Amino acid sequence: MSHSSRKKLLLMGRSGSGKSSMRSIIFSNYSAFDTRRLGATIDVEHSHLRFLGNMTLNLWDCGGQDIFMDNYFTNQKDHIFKMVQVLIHVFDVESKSINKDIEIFIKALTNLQKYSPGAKIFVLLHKMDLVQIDKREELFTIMMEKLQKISNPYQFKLIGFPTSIWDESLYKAWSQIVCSLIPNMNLFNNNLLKLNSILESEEIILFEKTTFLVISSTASIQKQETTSEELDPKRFEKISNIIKTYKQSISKLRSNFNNLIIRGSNGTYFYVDVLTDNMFIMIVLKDKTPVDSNSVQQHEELLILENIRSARKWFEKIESTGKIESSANSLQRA
Amino acid sequence: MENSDGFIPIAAIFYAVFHPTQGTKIVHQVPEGSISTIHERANTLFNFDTVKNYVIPKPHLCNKLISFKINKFKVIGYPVNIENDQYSRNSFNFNFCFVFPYDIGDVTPYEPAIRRMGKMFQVLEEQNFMLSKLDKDNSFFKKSNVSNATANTNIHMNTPGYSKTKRINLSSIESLINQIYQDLNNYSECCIPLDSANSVDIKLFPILPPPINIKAFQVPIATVKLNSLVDVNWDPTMIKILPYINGLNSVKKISELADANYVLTKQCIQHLMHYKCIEIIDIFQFGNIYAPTNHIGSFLKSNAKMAEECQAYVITSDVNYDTSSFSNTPNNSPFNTLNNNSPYGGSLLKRMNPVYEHSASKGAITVKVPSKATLFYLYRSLNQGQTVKEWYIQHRKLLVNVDIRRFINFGVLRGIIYRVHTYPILNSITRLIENNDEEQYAKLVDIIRKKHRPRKKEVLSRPKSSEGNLLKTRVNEQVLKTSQGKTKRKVSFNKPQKVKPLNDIILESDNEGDSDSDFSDGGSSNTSYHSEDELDSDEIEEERDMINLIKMLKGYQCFDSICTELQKSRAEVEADIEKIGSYSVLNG
Repeated sequence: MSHSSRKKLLLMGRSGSGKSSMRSIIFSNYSAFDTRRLGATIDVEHSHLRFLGNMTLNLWDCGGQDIFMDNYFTNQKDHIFKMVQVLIHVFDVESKSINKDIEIFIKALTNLQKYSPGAKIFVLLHKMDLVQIDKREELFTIMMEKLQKISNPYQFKLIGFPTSIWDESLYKAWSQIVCSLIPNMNLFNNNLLKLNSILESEEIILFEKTTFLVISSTASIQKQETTSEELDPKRFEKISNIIKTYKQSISKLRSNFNNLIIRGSNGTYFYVDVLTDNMFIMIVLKDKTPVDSNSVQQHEELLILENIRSARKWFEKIESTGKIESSANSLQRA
Repeated sequence: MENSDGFIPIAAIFYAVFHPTQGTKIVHQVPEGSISTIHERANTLFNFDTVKNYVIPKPHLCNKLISFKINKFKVIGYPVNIENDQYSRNSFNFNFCFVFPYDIGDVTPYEPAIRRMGKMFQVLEEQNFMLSKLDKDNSFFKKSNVSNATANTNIHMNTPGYSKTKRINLSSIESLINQIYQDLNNYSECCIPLDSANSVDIKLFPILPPPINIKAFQVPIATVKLNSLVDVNWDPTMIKILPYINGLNSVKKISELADANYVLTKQCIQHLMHYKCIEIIDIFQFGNIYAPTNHIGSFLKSNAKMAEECQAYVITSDVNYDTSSFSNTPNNSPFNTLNNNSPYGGSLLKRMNPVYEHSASKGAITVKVPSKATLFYLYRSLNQGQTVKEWYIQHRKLLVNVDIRRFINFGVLRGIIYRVHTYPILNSITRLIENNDEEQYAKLVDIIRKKHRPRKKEVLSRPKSSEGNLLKTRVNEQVLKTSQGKTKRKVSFNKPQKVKPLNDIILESDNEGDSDSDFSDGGSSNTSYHSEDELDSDEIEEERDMINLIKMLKGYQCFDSICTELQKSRAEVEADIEKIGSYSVLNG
């Protein structure tokens, strides 16, 4: 895998499958409702997104009309398919011409194998909200099996997600896509675990600042330890969604989101605070011994925020080592 | 390749839309098959695939006139992007593109028409989906909205007076663009009704460049019979000056002879020039220098057509030796009644053209037409180092039946020879300009003034020193004025045809020449000055001339310009310059 901090992401799929809509939601702070206003993408729409400070995501949103698609696979193929890190192929589950969709997918795989054999491929089965709830799981597995079979000859391992702009599934898929591009993921994870043990918190989650995608969480690292209580498996994405909407409504009041403390009724406390220039941290704490005095609580809150502040320099260090590492790498390659 | 009216013909017209699933595509084109939509094929103009993103560009380039070059063709279109949530992709894009051959010439006459057509269809589409409705599958609309769109039209049908405004529905874009293509190429205009209220009306107009700035010393020469064009609505100044446009009088002289305002005269002549009724030559003098250009070869090219015309034009003898013939231009028939009105024509000619008097006195009877080779040799023999006079003396044997002025004018107008202008360069002033030294320049002006002052001082009484200051401040103002344009000023060694209005200073001095004459005629402060110094008026005039002369020297003007401005002969001007200091003459 390349350590270059510029990552090229191809966003493909047939016209009207929802490529531009999901891009606008994740990276341009659109609400799902806003995407109704979007027009068709003409040719390729390039966007350069700073992610975690030192990483640039070059997102190529490729218009899906037939005439553009023909062009991608003929005249423009080396331009489009060279140096690709990630291909995100979007399928419309409601599509009437599945065969045509698959044909294009095969063409994309063929070209990708030729020009960027190391690329990761994510398949998003989009507009899942249009399928009946009980049939979603089944449809997803059938489709994924079929697609994997198709891509086997090209030696690509597919990672698939059922997505919809109307729920948090989109955040989950994009979190995973983006996390797969972060080079020093393990460092983040290890430090997060340490912090967790020091704070004795229930859970700690790291979010990217602008997109609010989940970068890491203690729960996902400690997968082997099954938690006693039933927790919503979609909770991270829901949080992403909620906080993002919250941030948006705050920005309408012309103030910046800095930190947020929520005191739950059952003795659970949520702290959301800036961790580094590019990250937010969320800490969930549970009161072991219920105390009623307000002053003590105030005290404790300040303590937690202080703790976050002292953890900040460690995480900043990781970010900067990542930067050095990647620059050293690029030097070596040069 | 141009059509009858001089417009570039349209190579093809096509109508393209952005289809929600297929993408940008050509719906119709004329002639059929001129633009290939699939793959490279023979005998098509170009492949649509390579330009499709400029035919329907991203929204920020839409609703503007866009032109681009592809292969040997120029494509001009006005891509329209209409946003409306009734459309399946929230917007509808279309473009009527016109294809022209690239290298032939100017297609600007088409541009406003193409823009207007795009805007008109934009409105028609916004009002009643005129274009998007034409798609049989209704693929431009959201599925749920198809009924809405049709419902809208139903409402129209129920509105009172619908039957009157009943539209002749736009049946097919194909026949529309076909008709535009045919009509514009054949008649340069089209009137195609779309419905009772709308139609595609296009008429092409040639776009002429704005007239160049004419100088006082330049001479207009008519290329058409101006008298035959006159009607009652003509500008009075124009009618006044017409008799004096005879290829001999300079602009300044015309204004004086016609007793017309110089600025108005100049504007009139510029108008005539704009419509190509006149061309500009220079004052014919035997002291002029001419030299061949690199187009000299065309004199004998294409069956020596030009040479033949030249023969017909320059030939002179007693038979057609009358004043009227001299006012004609090379492009004109030999008889122009125009000059008969000129009271000056005959006498002027005799003064300027001693050759004719000479030949007339000789009384040659047989007229021998000079051969083409002779004429070519004569043109070729003109050179930078020789005035026309010297040249004439050298070649007088060959020039027996040749009207020299016509000979020279023919050469200049056809671009086979050019006038070598001479520029007096006063060494002291050049140095000052090089050093950017305004102060020194002002001093120089002062010195000139003082030369004339001492004698005057005896006459002037004390209080008049303030008047002297008045003059001084005025002069300084002029200095300032000229210095502003200085950065733009430069010596031009181009062919004189191209010298044109490069130098602001000439225009400025043109205007100042007028204001100066006002200065001497009227103005309260000056009348008093005059009345008190009546004795010295000659002196003052001379002084003013000198100051003007310096100003013009500073602006690098050619002798013609200076002579016209000061209304002195070249010899007089040379004498004046010598008074100021040493100078050199530059040919360019």
